[in-house]
Amino acid sequence: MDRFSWSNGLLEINETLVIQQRGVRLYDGDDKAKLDLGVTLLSTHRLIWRDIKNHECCIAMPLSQIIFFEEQAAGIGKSAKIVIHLHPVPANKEPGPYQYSKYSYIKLSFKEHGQIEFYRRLTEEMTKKRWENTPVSQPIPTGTGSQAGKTRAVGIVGIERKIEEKRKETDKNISEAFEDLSKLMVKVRKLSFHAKEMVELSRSIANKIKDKQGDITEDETIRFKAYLLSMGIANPVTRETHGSGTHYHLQLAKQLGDMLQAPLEERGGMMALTEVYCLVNRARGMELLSPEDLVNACKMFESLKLPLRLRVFDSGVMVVQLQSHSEEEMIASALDNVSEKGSLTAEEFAKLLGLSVLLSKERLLLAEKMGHLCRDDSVEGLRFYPNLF
Amino acid sequence: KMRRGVGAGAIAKKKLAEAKYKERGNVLAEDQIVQMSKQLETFKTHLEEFASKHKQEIRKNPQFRVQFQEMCATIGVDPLASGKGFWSEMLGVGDFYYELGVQIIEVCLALKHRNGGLITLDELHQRVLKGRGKYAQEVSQDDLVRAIKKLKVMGNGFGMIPVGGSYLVQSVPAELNMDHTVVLQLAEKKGYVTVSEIKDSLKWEKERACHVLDHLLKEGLAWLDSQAAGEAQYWLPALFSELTSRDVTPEEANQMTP
Repeated sequence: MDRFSWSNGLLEINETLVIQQRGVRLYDGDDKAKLDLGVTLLSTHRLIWRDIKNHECCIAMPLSQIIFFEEQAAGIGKSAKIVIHLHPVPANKEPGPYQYSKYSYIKLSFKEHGQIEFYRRLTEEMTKKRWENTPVSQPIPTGTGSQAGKTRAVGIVGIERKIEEKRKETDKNISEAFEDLSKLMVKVRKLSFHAKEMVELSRSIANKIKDKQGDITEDETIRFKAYLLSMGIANPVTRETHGSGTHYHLQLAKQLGDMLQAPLEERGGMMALTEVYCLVNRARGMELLSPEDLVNACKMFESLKLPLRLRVFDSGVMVVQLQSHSEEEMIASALDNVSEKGSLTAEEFAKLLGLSVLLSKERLLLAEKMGHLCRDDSVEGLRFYPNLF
Repeated sequence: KMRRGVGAGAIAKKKLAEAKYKERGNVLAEDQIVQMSKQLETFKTHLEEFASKHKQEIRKNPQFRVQFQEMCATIGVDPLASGKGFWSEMLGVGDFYYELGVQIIEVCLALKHRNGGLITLDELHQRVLKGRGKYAQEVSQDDLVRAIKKLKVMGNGFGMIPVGGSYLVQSVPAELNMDHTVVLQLAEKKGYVTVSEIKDSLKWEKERACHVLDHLLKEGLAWLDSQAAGEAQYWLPALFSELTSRDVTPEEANQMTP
């Protein structure tokens, strides 16, 4: 409703009235507008609405604001409506009844019928686009309008026209994109609603999964999960152990198993998940993995019996770790190095082993947790010593 | 009237009823999944059509991306959840943000030893743009924020702290509670803060102020200038604009890519 501007309701010189209909209530998106019943008028240039009782209350919107419109059938206790989807508010819009609206569509509710004819005429006008041929001064002046000087040099007129055409062309492309986006989203909304219904009814599916726990070649459940994945709808049906449980992530997990062996060996058997993300996506170049894809794939390492594990430290840092590099080895190596040097900070340890500071810190913390190291935490930094107690 | 017994007969009957219910539920679910598959195919066609006309718009136009993301959010659909999603495969929305994620991680890694893992959104934006080169597509701060939100699922402490009308981006798992955040916000104006300033503005005891400042020092987020005239100053390199103009050195670059 924020596309409307206050108007005196008078038609301009080249503007013609096409049809008018009484008993129309306006809706801002799905909400009733804070206006009463009125008359809605369609002209060659604008959509106008006037309050039946208070004629001073009159608003208008150029037809060029309309992207597309559709009928909404009457229901029990509900009048027939026309839903009109609109372009974003133009910068030079004159003030109107609404400063801002979260909706990009309005509805006309026909309390006294007339929607069929109105829809027909609106379709006609939106097809003919008569306002383009006979422009009136925009915006409709409510105060003193300024008359642009009509006399110009011929050359400038030519250039101006070219610029105007170019602008219209660009505007047209962009509006078309936004217009198509709106239409697409209407379809997405319908689909996603259906999918959500399915998710709520998924108790039967969840039972199936429970019964066949571990067997992830179940056709229907796989298809269902793939459906949710491709739409980008969160899937609460499966629990964390299987991650997303789709074929895609299964294959990914295997690929990662191959691809990460060498890099992990080079880095002492452990890499932060963000490091893995960068490594893998840089290698792929396109059709990149999302962060969630990576996490879901890594969660499958164990069930696929691959020699890698996803591990989460107390700090929340997530790493991929080689099975072969055992916990004991890491702790022993930390203790050895610290004992040899007397004491170490995470930075010093990182330099020694050629690891990232983040991961060398995690190893020291782990060794401390197991009681092999103790810390001296000062403003100089965090330093670890062998635990002699 | 039959009595509900607990005998073997009653148990068998119950099991049979359960099995029948399950079976019926299965059949119901299968039907709906078949239906959904059909709808999915139709939708794919629509999306392909849209993509063939407007794929460029997504890449070129930050405003279009915002509209797109907001529309998806209203519907409850996350177009960035998976690289296997329609949105990624057909519109290429995914690649745009996932690549941005890589660039964000790399910038944060390279500068971590300077700023302790805290960087302003502005600086991050500048550096990412620089790294992308002058022929790359435009990237807005909204784009960065969405990419960072996705990075959170990988642990490593990615987060955003509201400060002075914008954000500080955190890329290390340092524990930052309300007290720390408030001090950061206080330091935002000048890039540093003193114990007295904290006591005056926040009405804290000296101990509480020192506790917070010590933590920031330990985490490498603050540097101490004890030589400052008057009182010791705690500088936050993330907010300290002089540092931000320095380019990434080759050593720092080595921290980035494996």
